[in-house]
Amino acid sequence: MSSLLDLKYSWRLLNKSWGYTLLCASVVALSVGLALWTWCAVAYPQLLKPMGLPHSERWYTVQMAADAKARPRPSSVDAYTYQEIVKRTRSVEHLGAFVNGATVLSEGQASTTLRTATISPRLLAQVVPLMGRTLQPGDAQLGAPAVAILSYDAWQSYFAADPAIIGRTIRVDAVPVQIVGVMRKEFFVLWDFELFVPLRLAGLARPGDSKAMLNPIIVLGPKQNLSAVLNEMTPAVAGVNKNYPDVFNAARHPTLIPSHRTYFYGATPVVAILIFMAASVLLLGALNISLVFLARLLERSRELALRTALGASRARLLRQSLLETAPLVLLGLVVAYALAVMGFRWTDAWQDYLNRFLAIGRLNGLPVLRTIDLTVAICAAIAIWLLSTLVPAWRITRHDAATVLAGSGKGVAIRGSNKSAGLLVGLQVVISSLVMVICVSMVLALNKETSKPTRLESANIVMPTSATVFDARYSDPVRRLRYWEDLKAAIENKISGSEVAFASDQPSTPGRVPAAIEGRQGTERQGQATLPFSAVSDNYFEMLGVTLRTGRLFDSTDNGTSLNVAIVDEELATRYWPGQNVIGKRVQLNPTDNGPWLTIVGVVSSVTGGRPYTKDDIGALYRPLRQAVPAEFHTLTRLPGTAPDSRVAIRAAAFGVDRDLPFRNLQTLDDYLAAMRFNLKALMPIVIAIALITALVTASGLFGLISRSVAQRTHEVGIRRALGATPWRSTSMFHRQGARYLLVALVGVALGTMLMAPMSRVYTNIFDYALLSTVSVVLLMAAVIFAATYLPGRRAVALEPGDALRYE
Amino acid sequence: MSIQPLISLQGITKKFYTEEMETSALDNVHLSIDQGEYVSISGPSGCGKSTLLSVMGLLHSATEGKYYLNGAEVTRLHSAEQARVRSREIGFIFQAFNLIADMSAFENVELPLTYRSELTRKQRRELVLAALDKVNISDRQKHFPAQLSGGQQQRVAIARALVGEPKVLLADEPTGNLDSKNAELIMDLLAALHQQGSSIVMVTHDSRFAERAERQVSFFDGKLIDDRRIRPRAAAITVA
Repeated sequence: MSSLLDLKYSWRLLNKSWGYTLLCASVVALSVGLALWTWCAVAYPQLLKPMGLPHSERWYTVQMAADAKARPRPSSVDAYTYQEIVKRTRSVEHLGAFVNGATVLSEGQASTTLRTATISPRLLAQVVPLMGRTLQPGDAQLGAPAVAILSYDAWQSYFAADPAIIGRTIRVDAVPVQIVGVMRKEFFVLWDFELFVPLRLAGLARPGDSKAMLNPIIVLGPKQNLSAVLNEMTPAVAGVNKNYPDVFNAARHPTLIPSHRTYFYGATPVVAILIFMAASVLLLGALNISLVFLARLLERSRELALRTALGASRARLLRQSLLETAPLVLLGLVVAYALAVMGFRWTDAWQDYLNRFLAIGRLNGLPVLRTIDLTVAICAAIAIWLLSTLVPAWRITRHDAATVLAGSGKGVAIRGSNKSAGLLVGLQVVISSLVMVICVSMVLALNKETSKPTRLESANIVMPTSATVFDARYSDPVRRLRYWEDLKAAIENKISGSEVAFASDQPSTPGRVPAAIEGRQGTERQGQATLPFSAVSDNYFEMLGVTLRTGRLFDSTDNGTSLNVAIVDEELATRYWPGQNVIGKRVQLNPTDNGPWLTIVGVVSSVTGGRPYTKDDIGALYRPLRQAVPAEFHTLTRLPGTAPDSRVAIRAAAFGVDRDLPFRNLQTLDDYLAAMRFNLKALMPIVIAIALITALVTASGLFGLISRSVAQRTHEVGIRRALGATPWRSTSMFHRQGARYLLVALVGVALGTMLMAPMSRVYTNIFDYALLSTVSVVLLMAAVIFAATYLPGRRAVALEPGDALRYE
Repeated sequence: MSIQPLISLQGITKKFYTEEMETSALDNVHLSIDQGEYVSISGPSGCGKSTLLSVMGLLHSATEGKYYLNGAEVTRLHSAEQARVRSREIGFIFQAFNLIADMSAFENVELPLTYRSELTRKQRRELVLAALDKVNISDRQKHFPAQLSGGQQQRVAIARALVGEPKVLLADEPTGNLDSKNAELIMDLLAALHQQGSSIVMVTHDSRFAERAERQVSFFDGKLIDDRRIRPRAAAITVA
């Protein structure tokens, strides 16, 4: 019953001081909400969420780092290296691979592109399909009948859930394929594949024999370990590097990554930064709450002493303190949950938008709020609540009740408590300065990177986001050239006033090709380099507003029988031929395969802003489409200015030319370029929110501490003024206290700047604004500290000295 | 039949220690107070009066000596047991009233009862109303301290002290913050309570009020220097 009275009293206190209630609840809500969001929307899905297969924790994906400094990437193992790895690796239960690609399904009067896993059958051996069977080792034999398994969604969407689908022959990449199974609805492994076909690899004599890029997967046995596998795999890769120095960097090395992180491993530094920031904010919140509760209890030390005198035991006082802070924490938790849910929806929405835009299906990394996460969050909040209440309450109840009652309520200056509070605030200032300097630097760096102009005239241009890949029917380059001519004519006929160009890669994100630069000495391997490369049609430059700087553009005379030519952009020219006339210089592509020597005939303006933070892709080397004749291409269609969206017409034109080469996911070039920066742009509000929360929490902590300090020393202020001190001089001790915290803030800023060094591997321009962010954070902290010292001090000197002397 | 004293202090010494020095607030104090007695403690500032009251009220532990309350030694009780004794056996009246500003008069008086789990809400209410009635302030039970005069606040504080029917009321300068008229009223109230059987130990340095007790104890420099009976014991004394 007395608990009810305590609750009623707590409620009255909370009602009385709305500012305090809101401050505490906000601190709990923001810090716990951010932590919950970070865990459920970022950390768990990207680091820990398992795949939907039994024992998948023993699956590891092999990713290759191209050189000693490069980061491993998905689909980075060429077929030849994979073949060598398979030969040498013994310490695994199974070694297989998959290729993340696309195939063309054409049924009746429609054709579409499916996300396709070309996969070793044994990797799917544990899978129980909804219908039919899974892939079997025999399916991967060369010459075996072509078979495939459909995903549940593909079965529903493209075959109207036909119950007789098993055994039916469909047309995939213009060849008949028999459906042997349909996956279960919940089946999701690695990627949202729509079709599974067996991986068939013929023996390769050299790296150039196959262009396939694989994701090898090892499955460890119960007693096998990763180091043994790496010990076998690393020499195999090193052997390939050594035998083919023109193709592979000597420091290329394999990395084994838990398979559930295959597509998220590259984001690990970003995830780590977010986790660090969220943990810092949570720690700040806990410290802040402890400080506020301590200050609150100290203000009420007289009341607590009185309760002691009236017979309240220490346990009873602790219980009452807990009851008083419980509603605050509960309110904070409820708001934290609401904020986290809003965060999940926001994250879900932009990830969904991006996935739909790029037509990559679902991701395994979508936010997920599990009961266990919520339970852990509640337990953590309870732990924070107990610690932040019981520790200060325990300290207060240890004070001598008679002494407290004999003195004044507010003036009970407890040196130990002041020192503890001072240390806690100091820690807050360090952490917040550290977090803020990182946040400000990140925001400025991200803004700079995502605001770079593309230098492309991208308006009204539509293109498929994925390349169209020629199938075996187009092995003859003449047929490919004829196809492009037919396609161009078909689109331009269907859409009056349109213009069509072709390129092997999306504008601003060229591919990469090994090359030798004639006459370039003294660099690694005598002029060997990997150059950004794109094969383009004659009208490509004009269509995209890429302007000629010197020399000439491609024209119809640049064909298979004429001199092999190339055009480079200004960036590439400056990088490899600084201060020289580039016209007439020669470059050999694929020197290992004795590729063609190209003569540079022109220099064009540079294009930037493709994938952010990919410095290696700076510059571009262009070849005429007629000479390079790439196996895959992008079709760019500039629509007439007034034309409505003509995607249906473009698809129809492509279908008319070859039904087995459909366009996949037509989007505008503007949207595509924006999508390339979307993830980084989405990161900016998160980082800004973290900085704001940090500033708010720190400011409130500083205000709380210094206000309390002023309250305790108002009597002293009165004495000083009675002795002749001016208002400013009489509050100088508070300003000195603030100045000490400013020094502490400088330490935090310095630590933050040091922490930015490892981050610069990901955000390569983060130090561009280090000075600006340091000065900004120091000024901000100075402003907060000045306000936190000046305002309470002003209150103290606003009292008449006589009133201050009587102040309690 | 021997009468057991309500309070028996045997050789009580209380020292306070700071980093630099040791201060002796009470020095070998021997004092017995019987049930129903009205004792005033007087002396100059810093003589140890309030410290003695703190030791009697178990707010301070004695450095040396033994303290018997109602025949039981309470010198070295655990803090929880001390709290239990305070809530049942002792009632405090402070110079500064020490009412909780955010509680009504009724709630302030009820507060010590909430620390006694054996009482139901109804019992608590009856006891509070009786206590408020006893000090003649029932009509102000819903008022908050800020809405009461100093005399009324002290009456609420006295009601709070006696609501749990303690064995002894410890009053530390109960009239120190009051004007003379209200001070007289409070002293009359204490006298009336004594007449009804309450044991009262009152610290005061006002000789007029000290003489209204039936026994006057004087302190100087932590030592008991005088203990004299001013008037005979009241008739209402009963042996516990």
